[in-house]
Amino acid sequence: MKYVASRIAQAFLTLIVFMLVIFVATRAAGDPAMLVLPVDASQAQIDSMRAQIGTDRSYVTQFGIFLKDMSTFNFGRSIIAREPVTKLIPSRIGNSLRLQLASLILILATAFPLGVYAATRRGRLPDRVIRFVAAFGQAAPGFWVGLVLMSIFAVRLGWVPAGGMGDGGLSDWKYYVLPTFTTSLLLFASMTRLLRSSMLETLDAEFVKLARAKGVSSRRVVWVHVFRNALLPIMTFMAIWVGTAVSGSVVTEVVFDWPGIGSTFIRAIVSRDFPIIQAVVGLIAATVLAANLIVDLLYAVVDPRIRVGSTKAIAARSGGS
Amino acid sequence: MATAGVVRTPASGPTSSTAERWWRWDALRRWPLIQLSVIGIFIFCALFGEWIAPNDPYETNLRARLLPPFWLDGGTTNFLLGTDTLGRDIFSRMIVGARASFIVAMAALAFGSVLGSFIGLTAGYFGGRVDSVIMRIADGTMAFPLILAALLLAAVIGPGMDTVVLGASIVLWARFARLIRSEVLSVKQRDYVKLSQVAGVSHWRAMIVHILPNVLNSVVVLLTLQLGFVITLEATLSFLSAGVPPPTPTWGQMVANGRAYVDTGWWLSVFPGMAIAVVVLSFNLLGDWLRDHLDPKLRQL
Repeated sequence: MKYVASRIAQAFLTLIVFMLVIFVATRAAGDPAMLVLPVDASQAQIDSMRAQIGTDRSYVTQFGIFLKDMSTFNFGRSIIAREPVTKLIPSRIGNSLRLQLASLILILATAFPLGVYAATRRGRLPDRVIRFVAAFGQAAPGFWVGLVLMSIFAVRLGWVPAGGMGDGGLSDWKYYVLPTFTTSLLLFASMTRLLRSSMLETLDAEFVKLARAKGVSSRRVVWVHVFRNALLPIMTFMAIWVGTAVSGSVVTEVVFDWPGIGSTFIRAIVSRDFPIIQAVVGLIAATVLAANLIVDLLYAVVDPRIRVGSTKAIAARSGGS
Repeated sequence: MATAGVVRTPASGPTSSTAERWWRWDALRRWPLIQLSVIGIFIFCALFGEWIAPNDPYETNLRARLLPPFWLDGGTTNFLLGTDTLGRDIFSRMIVGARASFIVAMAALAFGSVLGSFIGLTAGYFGGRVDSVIMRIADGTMAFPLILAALLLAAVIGPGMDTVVLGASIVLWARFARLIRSEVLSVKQRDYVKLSQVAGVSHWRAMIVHILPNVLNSVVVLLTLQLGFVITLEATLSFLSAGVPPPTPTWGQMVANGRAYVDTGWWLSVFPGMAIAVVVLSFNLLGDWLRDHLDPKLRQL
């Protein structure tokens, strides 16, 4: 219980610090009033705008207001689109989530069998091939993979569209193919490697040797005894996935013109549309922290050593990341 | 990709299958020659790009726009890998473009590793409250999606080489600090450290003279493993036009320029992207090799 409480307190504190960083960063870019107003605005106009958005008050008060706005999802208006951010963003988030969900399914469906297969065929041809593909997947930049896939399958062969997302429904599944592959590659690669090394480590454990000595069938040893224990690092991975999914979605969405949160964010960055930047970064920071917190708490459920605060278990856990 | 080293091909015997014989050249990889030569070429291009490039990478030639690579119809050997939309030589731009990746990687790693190692050393050595505060900050930093942080930075202080270096260092220091700290925790338990403390050396001297040399292996391994990461980050930011601005050629930018021409000029983005993939792959494999030889216990990194 003490562990849970302290983890929650920590996550909360980190969130406040993140918000402070975002606040300082966006304010360091200049007075928001100047960004909203035309260049030739009079001093009176500037002053009244400052009073309106609150930048005439002290930084501490401003930060307080900023925190309150962020926690109540009051993100203000987009400087470019002149519409409330809360109206612009939700559908974009939905589009991004669809893409990420498709990619998560693909990763889980491919990385699990391949990682386990590579570990059981250690050093042989299948292992080498899988390892090479994984190594290449980690090295090739996502935006390049996306463009190569696009020029082969969309431009040359014409099997799938080159960009956009259609209606986004299941009937438009063809729009999902290339973006899903592109977003998945990096995580597929890391997860296959992680699962393989985690399996190899567990395959060496004493309890596995005991199971083998007792005459448990090979398949049962691999899938029941080893696989279950090799899953622990995968939980850490899921927390990392949230963060990487965000970065991956920015690149993929730009390459394939996917109308998601990533491409919206890039457009906001280019036009210095700070209300949108602020909202997106804030939401993502909160999501990533929440994911990390949930995984840490799940660990405590799965691994009793963490509940009693054994440093060995905690070290083993952070090593997995 | 726990490659060469961890899995040794068993001593050759008459029983080995064809598949295994096929992979016998793996023995050559006792020294990672392929990776080292790729990295050598990369560094050479980064240092001497202007002098070895066959054409001026900045010279535009509107009559030679979008020429294909030399082996295709319409390509000439003057432009080995074709030309871009302004008629600039892709091959020469790739050679010169190595510099941006190289400089960013070196600067970010120098900054991140020195800062991170120092912080990790301090945290691990002193322990207690200092340690837990520093490690919480490191964990928080690592949780934040890096691309977002770097893009935010680019929006606030403007895109440029220094922005990319700063963005990369923000995350790198935390990775180094975490690793070094955990190493220091075990090294500081050793007798010679305790004895040196009994002999009355200062904290500073114990950290620098007695502990630091024993964690340097890990620093070197992590440095190599992170090189590929920084190069990819630089390329990604350049691709998103938040990295090194034109006219300096960078690989990421070149891929981005080819984006609108996937139908009429695939070579615009394919070759620069391939350069990124090959260089990053070489650094990653070299890092794996170093780790297996210097520091096998870091296998999970």
